[in-house]
Amino acid sequence: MKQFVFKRTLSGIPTLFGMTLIGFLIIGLTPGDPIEMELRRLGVSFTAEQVEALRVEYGLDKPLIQRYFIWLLDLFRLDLGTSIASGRPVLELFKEHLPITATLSVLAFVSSLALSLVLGTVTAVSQRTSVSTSLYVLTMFLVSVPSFWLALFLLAVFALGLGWFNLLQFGNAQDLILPVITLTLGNAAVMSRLVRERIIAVMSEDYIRLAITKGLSRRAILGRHVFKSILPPLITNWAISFGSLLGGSVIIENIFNLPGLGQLALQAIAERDFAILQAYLLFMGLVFFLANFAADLTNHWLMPQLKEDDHGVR
Amino acid sequence: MVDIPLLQVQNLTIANSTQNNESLVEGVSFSLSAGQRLGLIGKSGCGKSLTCHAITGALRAPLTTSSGSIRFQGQDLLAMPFAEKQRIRGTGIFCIFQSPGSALHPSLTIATQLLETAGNVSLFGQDAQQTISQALEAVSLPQHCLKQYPNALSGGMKQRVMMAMALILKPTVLIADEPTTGLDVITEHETLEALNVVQQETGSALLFVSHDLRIVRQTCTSVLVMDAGQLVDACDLNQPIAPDCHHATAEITRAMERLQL
Repeated sequence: MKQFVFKRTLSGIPTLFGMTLIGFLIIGLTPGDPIEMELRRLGVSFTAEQVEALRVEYGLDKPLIQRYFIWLLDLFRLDLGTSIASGRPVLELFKEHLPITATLSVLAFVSSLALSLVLGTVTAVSQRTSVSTSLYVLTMFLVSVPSFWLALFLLAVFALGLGWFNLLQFGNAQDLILPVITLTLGNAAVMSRLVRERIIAVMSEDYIRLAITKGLSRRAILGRHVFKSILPPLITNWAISFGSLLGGSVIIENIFNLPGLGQLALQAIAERDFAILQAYLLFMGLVFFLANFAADLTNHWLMPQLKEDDHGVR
Repeated sequence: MVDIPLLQVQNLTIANSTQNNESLVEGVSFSLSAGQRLGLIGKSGCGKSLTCHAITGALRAPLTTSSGSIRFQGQDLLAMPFAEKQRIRGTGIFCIFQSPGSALHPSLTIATQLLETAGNVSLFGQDAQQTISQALEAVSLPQHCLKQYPNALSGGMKQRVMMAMALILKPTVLIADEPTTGLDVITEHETLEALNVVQQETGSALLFVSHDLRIVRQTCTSVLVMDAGQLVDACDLNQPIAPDCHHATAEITRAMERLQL
């Protein structure tokens, strides 16, 4: 296991560097001058010399590659640069906006994971019953509906109609309920389809037939035999889902007016605030990387027979 | 030996529900008494394995038993709810399937798979370990196999793990569905020996399915012949095959004779 962790960490280093390079270049090569954009936004008149002076101040006068290495070195010192629009350090802005996004994503992830397991198992095990068919149709509907539509629908019913929630303002934890439900429903529907497909596929395996023939209870067959087999592909899927949830919360945060990372990123796109965008891309890449890393480790731990395959039959 | 049918299959028909209920096995009837060793033989695809799957409840959708009955000690298995069937499966009827490579759970150690089998006959802790150890010895498997995962075992060893399961469960009816398919001659011999040990130790009635008359002769006292989804002949293996037998039986006998030459 230690050897696996070491190998996997080593092989992750080039990926991380690649991520920083691509993330930096995508933003760096975007057309539009951030200094001019910001000055125009502020409505001040400016001269070419003033723009040039500001460029030098923000280091934008240097060639792109040189800027990349400066940015990379700063990164090691946990300096993510300074936001052009607000003049504040990016790290500070991240610290301010991350808690809401993290809370939203983690809550939505945990609840969609639990819901998807229940939905997937029920629809797979009791196929061709009315309950199973209705749940399957519901999941198909939730998969097809865009999250912004679901968000607006929930707002219309529960905030505007019933008045249970605040509309478009963030004050306390209660205001996270609707966004979490929106993210959970869509995500759980997608995840439950994989759970269902995997259970149906595994149920036709010879070893499940043996488990049935041995006279094991339904609980033992599902709990020990089926779930042990479906977990590895599900864990990989969950890792991707977590990253997508974090990315997907951009739209949801904007609809529900939550001051999270997504809102910060969208604002940064509008203002060509390169430093924030570069940091956001890096952060998203890092989340995907870590989630996949965690999934790989869990799968390695869950499938010990793979260890024997690594070194031949012992 | 009292001749009471332990297992009675009557008019069993297996159909494919997605293809206009086309019958794959039709009107199969036979019975198995305590201690009997009955062979079921026929060409590949004639419906032998499907018949076994129907008895053990391992038919996969869209295949279903469209008519007939399968009675175990007088109780109709097809009319029972799942939980009740599970009480009969294992200790009442157990089946050794033809694909040892995929029959064992790949992510569970042999010990876990045998312990859970022992748990099904209410053997736990020290008792379970002792029974497992004796079962492994009876089928000539080394004790260190317990710590391994199925991928570390050969096909013959996996098949013997299945035999060990049968030894632990001591089923009233043991079905062996082509247990030697895909095994080399030496492993085939070892597997049959192990099966012999299992049958002697458990006293189970045996339904031995094969396409190989030579192996059936070694294992069974009588044989049923299937052809195109139907039972077409029944022969006593202590007697020479009658010259007026069904053409499917004659075909198998002729092929075996030619191979032996």
